[in-house]
Amino acid sequence: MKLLNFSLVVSVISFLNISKTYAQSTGEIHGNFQSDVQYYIPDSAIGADTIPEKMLMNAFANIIYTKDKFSAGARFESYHNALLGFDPRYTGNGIPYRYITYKADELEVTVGHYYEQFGNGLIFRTYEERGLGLDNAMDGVRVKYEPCKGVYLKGIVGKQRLYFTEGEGILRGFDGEMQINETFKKLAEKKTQVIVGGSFLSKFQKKPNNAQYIFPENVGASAGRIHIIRGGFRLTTEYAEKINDPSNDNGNIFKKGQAILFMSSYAKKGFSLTFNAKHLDNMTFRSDRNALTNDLLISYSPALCIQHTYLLAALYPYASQSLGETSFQSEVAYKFKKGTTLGGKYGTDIKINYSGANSIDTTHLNDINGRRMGYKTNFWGIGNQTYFRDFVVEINKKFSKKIKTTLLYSNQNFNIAVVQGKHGKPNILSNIIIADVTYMLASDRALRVELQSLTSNDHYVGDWAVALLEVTLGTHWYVAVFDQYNYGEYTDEAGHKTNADYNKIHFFNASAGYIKNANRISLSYGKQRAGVFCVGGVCRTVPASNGLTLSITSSF
Amino acid sequence: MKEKKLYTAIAFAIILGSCDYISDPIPPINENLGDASSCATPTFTTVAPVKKILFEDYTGHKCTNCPNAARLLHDIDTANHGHIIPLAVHVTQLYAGTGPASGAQAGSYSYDFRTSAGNEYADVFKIASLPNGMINRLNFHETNLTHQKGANVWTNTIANIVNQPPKVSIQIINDFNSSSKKLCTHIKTEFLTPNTGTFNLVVLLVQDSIEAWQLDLGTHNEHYIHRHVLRASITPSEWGDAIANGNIPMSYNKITKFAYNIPDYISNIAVNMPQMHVVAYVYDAATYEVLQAEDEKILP
Repeated sequence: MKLLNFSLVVSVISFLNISKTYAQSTGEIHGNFQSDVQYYIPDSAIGADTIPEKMLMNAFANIIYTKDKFSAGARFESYHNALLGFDPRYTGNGIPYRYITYKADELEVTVGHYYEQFGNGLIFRTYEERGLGLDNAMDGVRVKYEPCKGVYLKGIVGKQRLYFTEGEGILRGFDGEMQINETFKKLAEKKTQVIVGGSFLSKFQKKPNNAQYIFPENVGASAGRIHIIRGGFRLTTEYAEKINDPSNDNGNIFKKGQAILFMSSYAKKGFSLTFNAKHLDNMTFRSDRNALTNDLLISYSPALCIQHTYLLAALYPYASQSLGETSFQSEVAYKFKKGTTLGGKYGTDIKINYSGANSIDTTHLNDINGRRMGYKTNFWGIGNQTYFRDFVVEINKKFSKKIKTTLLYSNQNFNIAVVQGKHGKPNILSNIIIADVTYMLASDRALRVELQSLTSNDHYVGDWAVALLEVTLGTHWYVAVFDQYNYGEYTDEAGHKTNADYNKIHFFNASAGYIKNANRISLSYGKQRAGVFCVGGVCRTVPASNGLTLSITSSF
Repeated sequence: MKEKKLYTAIAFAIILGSCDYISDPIPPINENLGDASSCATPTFTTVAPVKKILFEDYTGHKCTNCPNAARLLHDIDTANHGHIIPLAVHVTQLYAGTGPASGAQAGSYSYDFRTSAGNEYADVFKIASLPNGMINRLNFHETNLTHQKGANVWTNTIANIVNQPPKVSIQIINDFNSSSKKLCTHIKTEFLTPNTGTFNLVVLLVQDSIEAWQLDLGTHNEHYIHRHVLRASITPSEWGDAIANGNIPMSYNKITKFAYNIPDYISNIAVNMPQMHVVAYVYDAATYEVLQAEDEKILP
């Protein structure tokens, strides 16, 4: 079962999306609504607690008005109370997002809330990820200006959203980008295209009274980047640096932060090759030095690994370790042509991906009562602690007009102590095998079967099996059932057999959905194991639950 | 081209101006702090508690209107004898810094009454204009600045609170060794009503009646008497340390002692022992409101 479907069942419950547009001479109004409701049933076997309210709901509605170069919008949010796993500071109703934007020739001005990113986000990215309960939108002013062709300037000032309030720190920053081939006419026809950019961001947060240390009130970070394209070849690299930024995250050390991101790819018909690498050192950057979890993050760094969608492959998702990480990802994809031995009648796609992350190479400095630099870093150095490895082979094959399959093998090494803070636990080594077969019953009806297996070295994880059956009926209806079951046993050092944490428990789930035009209603019932849900390398903990879920989305 | 240079200059100014590089993150240790472990704890006698109000007069020797405020404070102190603990805090480079003043003799304002404690207070309480007052630091508000009291409300504000029963009593016993110049100061605090919160004790060194230059209503006065001048913090931090927190019962008391080696000079201004006082106050760490203050001369 794809995690996309699963996560809808898991985290929310109902999702309704309505969208219509009223095009009038006076402008256009767009809107959408989403509501996720879950009724919880206590289940001591899986650790699902009693929820006093019994039923919880997350909902929001957007209203956006546009006319010519003017637009304005607002988002109403309602949490009565927030779904399990979401921060309880999401409570009640409010309009935490509203903005006005207008564009006058080369100038664009936004006042109110906005999302923005400089370069790859190494020093600044504000965004919303509803599944994580993450919304660090800026509230303030943004100005974009294009002084000449191919040159783009941005300036921002404001504070970040913190649930229904705002963070303490003030952010000020600017970003400039030049698309060389657009700016210089002589280069317009050149095969090689080059884009360069640079950005600077500073946060201001008042220093605390009576503090143990002299905290900097203004912390600046800067970054430079270059992007080169020639034919099927692409290369992007960005370097960022942050000055002393003592915080809860880094134990109040005054060392500077550094980050470098390198991404390259080559693609031609039927073949692609990518190689990415990243080094992060003390780069957790927030607008409040005391903030924790996903609150008030300023910088962003995507995890260099496959974002698995299959349940067992995504059981232990990796999250970027912005305090220190050297990571890489490489992938080769090839399509065996139709009519060849391996390609068969319809061709065969194969993808091999290998990604990994390690600690950084550091030397401890005994200066905690002095300059408090904490440690020295060997830049690009690879530490000896393995954070993550994932070797993946995925084959997509269509056998006939009625049958297509996806086969996936993943070998993972996951440092649960570092990534999930479960100190003392050894790395989890696991092998995952997945078969996904779709059989077309008719042109508008399909039967899909997923069989998944995960075997591990760890009694905490155990050995999992998943079976899913999904039927699509016409263009409007779908019904799916799946079961997730842990059958693993583990022999400890003393030779005793113990069971995995969720041994012999069936996490059964059934769901059905109706989709028509822009409306979607889905209903599901079942159990959800406790775990971690990640998007783009940022994660939140999902507690165990059992119950009925309704999701509605609609737009107009 | 000129525009480009201007934009570049502005950009670099923003970058450089938006970064605070900290080379030494550990706050400087007050080198005059002594070892209090050898200070023998005296016996405190029972005294009837009296409401005592900390009156901070933010001032500067080159602030021409400040002497009028100081005179008003003196009148209020006289009228409420025994209830006011005045504290003159010299702040801002413009009004309290060293350097020439228009029409003044060369070298007349070469001394500096400013202290790191006073600077920190001015920073947190956003004291930008002088004269300025705070009365028990009432009504603290970070943006509305309602804690800053103009001279026109001083008398009434004092009248409104002076007859309130004290919530805390403070007693100070000083023991000064004139040969070693070590001061042992013992502070007994007692809560007279139940309270909830975190309460800090701050102990300051104050010098009264220093004769030095002052700009007074346009005239440079070489023989101005500077009253109740804050000279240093005796507590390691000017914000003190907690003496009680949580639910504090009535009669909860504590004796805290500090040792301080009195220097001959502070910021090149002689420390004249007969002029020296210890001022102590207890405040609510959440609101900054001072519950009680006390003043005791070091030499009897």
